[in-house]
Amino acid sequence: MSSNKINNKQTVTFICSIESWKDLKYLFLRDNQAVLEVADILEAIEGVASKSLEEIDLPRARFERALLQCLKYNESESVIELPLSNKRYYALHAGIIGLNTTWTNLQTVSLGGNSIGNEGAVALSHDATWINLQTLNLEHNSIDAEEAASLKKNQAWPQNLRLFYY
Amino acid sequence: MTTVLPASMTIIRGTNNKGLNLQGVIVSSCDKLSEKNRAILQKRGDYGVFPETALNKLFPSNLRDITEVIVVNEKLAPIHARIIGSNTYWSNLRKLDTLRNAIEEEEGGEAIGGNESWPQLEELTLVRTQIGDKTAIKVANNLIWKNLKKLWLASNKISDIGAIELERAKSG
Repeated sequence: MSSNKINNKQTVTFICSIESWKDLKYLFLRDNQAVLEVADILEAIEGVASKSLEEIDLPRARFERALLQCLKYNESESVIELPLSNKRYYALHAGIIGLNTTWTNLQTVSLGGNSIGNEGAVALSHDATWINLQTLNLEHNSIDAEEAASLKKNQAWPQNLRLFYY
Repeated sequence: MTTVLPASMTIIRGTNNKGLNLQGVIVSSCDKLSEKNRAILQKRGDYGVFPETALNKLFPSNLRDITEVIVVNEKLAPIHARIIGSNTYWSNLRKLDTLRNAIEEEEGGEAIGGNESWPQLEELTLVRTQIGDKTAIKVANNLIWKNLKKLWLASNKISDIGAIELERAKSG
């Protein structure tokens, strides 16, 4: 239902939560006028009944299996790596990833080659959950040294964290 | 069996200088329509716009063979969507693709969305067809399409009303 005239974010959430679509694999709702914030997007994704979702394309952001797997399907403790390089992600995706409070065993975050920018870096820097993080790869995301410094100051993450951001 | 749209009906008086006019006539359930009659429908009616492949499916020799009807970017108008939507003998139809045709709402989109003769339909594409909420509601409430797996409705005029109806019907 991309490029239609859906204005209300609740409508998007409703569509995502259709209970009878248990085998839904793809849901395309991009280019509608509804404006979804980070919390709305998380609610929409969580509401999807299907366990087979491969891709969901919401008005402001697209998510495919790799991230959906971690956000929605995997047990939180089993999320060790986020392999999300070159996915055309931007600050909003980083905001959603940064909001997570359950991936306590996460060791590697690969977000290189995206467009999360300084805003995305700041969103990640607020995380207080990834206490086992070993590698944070943010190369080629247009992140300034100042914002990178804020990442280094994160007290929850291990001291020997390998951070890449150029 | 034929259906004549009420909108096309006009009272004819005097000498007919214009010849046979079959505009608005929908022909269905024909058993071996002759080439001659088919040509008349193409020339005098609304069937001229259909490509030969689609026409062969509208007037087939073997009804059970028809599993796909693809009429992409064929300049179809609402009447042509109504011809397709009025079909009652594509009982094995699995895929219907009407991408990029101005079939619009009441005459066209609703006729397809309300069809109750295609129980095997798995994929329906109505992308860029100028449909709106009324068609979405028809599709949402179509109880025959139990096998529908792929529904493409992008680039149309469906608003929150049609989208919510789709949600309600499918949740019910």
